Amino acid sequence: MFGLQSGKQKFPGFGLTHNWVKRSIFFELPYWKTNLLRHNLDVMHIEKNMFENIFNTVMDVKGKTKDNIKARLDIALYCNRKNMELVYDESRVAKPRASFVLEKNAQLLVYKWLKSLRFPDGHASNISRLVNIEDCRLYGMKSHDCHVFMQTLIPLAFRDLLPKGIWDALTEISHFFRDICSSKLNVDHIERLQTNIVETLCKLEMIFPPSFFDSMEHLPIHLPFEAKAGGPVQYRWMYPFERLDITVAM
Amino acid sequence: MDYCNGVQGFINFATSIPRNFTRDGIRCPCRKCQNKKYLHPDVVMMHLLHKGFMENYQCWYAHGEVFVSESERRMEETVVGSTSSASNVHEAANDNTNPYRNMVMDAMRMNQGNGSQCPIVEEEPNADAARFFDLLKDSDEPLWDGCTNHSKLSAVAQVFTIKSDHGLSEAGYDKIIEWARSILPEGNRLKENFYAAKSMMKPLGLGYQKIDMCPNFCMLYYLENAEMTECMTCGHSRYKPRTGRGKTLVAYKKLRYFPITPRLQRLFMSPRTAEHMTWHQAHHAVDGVMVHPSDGEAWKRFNSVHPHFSAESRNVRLGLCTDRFNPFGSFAAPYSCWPVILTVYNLPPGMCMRPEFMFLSIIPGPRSPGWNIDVCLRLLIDELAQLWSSGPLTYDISRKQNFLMRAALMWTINDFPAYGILSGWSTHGKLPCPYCMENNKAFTLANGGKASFFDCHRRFLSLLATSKRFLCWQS
Repeated sequence: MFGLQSGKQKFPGFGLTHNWVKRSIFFELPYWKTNLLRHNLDVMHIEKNMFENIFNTVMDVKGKTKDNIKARLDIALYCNRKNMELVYDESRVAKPRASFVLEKNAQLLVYKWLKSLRFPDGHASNISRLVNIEDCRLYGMKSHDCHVFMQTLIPLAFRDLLPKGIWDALTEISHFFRDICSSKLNVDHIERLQTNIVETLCKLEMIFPPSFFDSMEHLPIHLPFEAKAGGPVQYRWMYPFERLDITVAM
Repeated sequence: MDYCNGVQGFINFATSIPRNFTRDGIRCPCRKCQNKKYLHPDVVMMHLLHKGFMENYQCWYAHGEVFVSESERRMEETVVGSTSSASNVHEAANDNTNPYRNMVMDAMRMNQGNGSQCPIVEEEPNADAARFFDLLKDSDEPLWDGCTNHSKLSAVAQVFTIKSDHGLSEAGYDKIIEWARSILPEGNRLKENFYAAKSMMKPLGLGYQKIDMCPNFCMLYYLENAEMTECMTCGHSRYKPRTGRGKTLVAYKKLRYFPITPRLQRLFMSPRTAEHMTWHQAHHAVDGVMVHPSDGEAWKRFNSVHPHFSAESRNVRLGLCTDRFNPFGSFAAPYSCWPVILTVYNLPPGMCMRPEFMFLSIIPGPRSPGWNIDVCLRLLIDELAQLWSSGPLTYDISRKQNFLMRAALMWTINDFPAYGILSGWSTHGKLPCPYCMENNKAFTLANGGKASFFDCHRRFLSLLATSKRFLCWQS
């Protein structure tokens, strides 16, 4: 019977040894259990969320950054990074600036550069329009703008502003998404991507605080496998469907 | 020598039809002139002997051989398949031939043309197609005697487009038709109201099913449960309480389901798509390079596990996408609608993810079905299972054959929350990754309060070389 698993009834062991909630209806299709790739991770959303986390943390956007007070408390608990722990004075608590966060001047430099940026027609929306220098924020970034920013602008924007090692890691992530999104995929190259992404994520783990790593930061590690099984990403992501939704809504 | 005779035959044929002659001579179909120049027959012959015929000029349509005139051919290119958009309709309406007739002709397999190259046995379309013949007759009938640019069908189809584009009510439609009929000549054949027009369009096969469902997404009132009046899980009544003296019972929630089979069949009925439906097998992949899902391992493995299915390259591979969206914009009242969209992977890369080849069956809001989405998918899954076990008899226009069309669902495409809903593996909590499943070391942060994948990626670092490079970066 479907739909009987309400929020309160769960299979024993849920959340500890498994996360199953129901037997999916797709298993009624006789061939479903033999499919190699049953559900696709959506690269569009992973890329967007990952970009937002990186950008907001590096630019220290208030309310959005993953490097907040609680993250620093967690660092004291789980990591060995003395220079990032909170400093308690007699009267106040200080949060020392992390190496991956840009200084205010550098942030302004990036926003000013974005303000003057121009793209070829149809490449992305006019990003300079989204920049608000007073608030030090980007407003109204669409998924596709994040896609373009992630793949082409991250290495340019942070070059010489971030320490070399951190910039290396961010550039690797940027290149990873660019390679995995290409319309022609080479099998050998995918295997290389698989080893590289593990390395890159390990590097990020050494840079960012534990709270940075929600599930979206973990999922890229499985993307090369999916690309190998399912072919180019452009047939398995949600851009075309989201566009269709817009026409349906009209 | 054969070629010389052929050219001579062509000149004889072309000059035998007086309509071909203009002041300057006949159209020259050579590679360079491309039917654009009028020349003396002798000059045309010289051109043909020197330069040869232009490409794809098997049917001498510009010299009076065919049924399809040149302008009609152009039209066919503008009107794409059965989903002609409004702009196409307008474009086509400016020309004086009738695109709707071509549409029906396509559906009917009536456009003759180049059938002669097929070595395989040709068949007549199956009986199901018979209904289309009525439509064809309708299409041929002019709107009024002496009308040249509109048929019954084209008129109705265009008013339908206007109705849906501008959200016209049924009453509004009827009023406009009433007015239009009064200004049209006496004895016109414009359908008198929406109901009549709709019954005329019905044989096109664009219908949908309406099925009542429990507003809490517990069950469908379907098959053996069709007569029930209360939900058997939550006890919610099926119908709204009657108000006034109305006799009809109104259900709380209805599911609209658009059957997928006739739409897949129509892909094979149109010559523009039918031949592309076997692209996935016909294309030659370079070893180790992937350009299409058919080059991927999942597809190849599916073929090897189900050889019966893959033996027929016309069998359809589908992808399913579902996503939450708010049709009234993100700032409007909260409303969560889950469209389920199917896409056809048989097609070549340029056509594969086009909106024309995505098929929609909407799950109604205003609340998200959550884990109970399976209830809404019941109809679709039943139909897919049916399509897998025994496909319907379908007419393939490109090979002029009837065959049993089967279909298989390759995979689904979702964002991460919907992934959990469809797969049954919850993507929340401490074990959100459906690949690592219970084998990851994600933990809840003491202060952040959220699950974190910190320090979960070292175990993937297996190669010694990688580790060395990594240590290098560390320093």
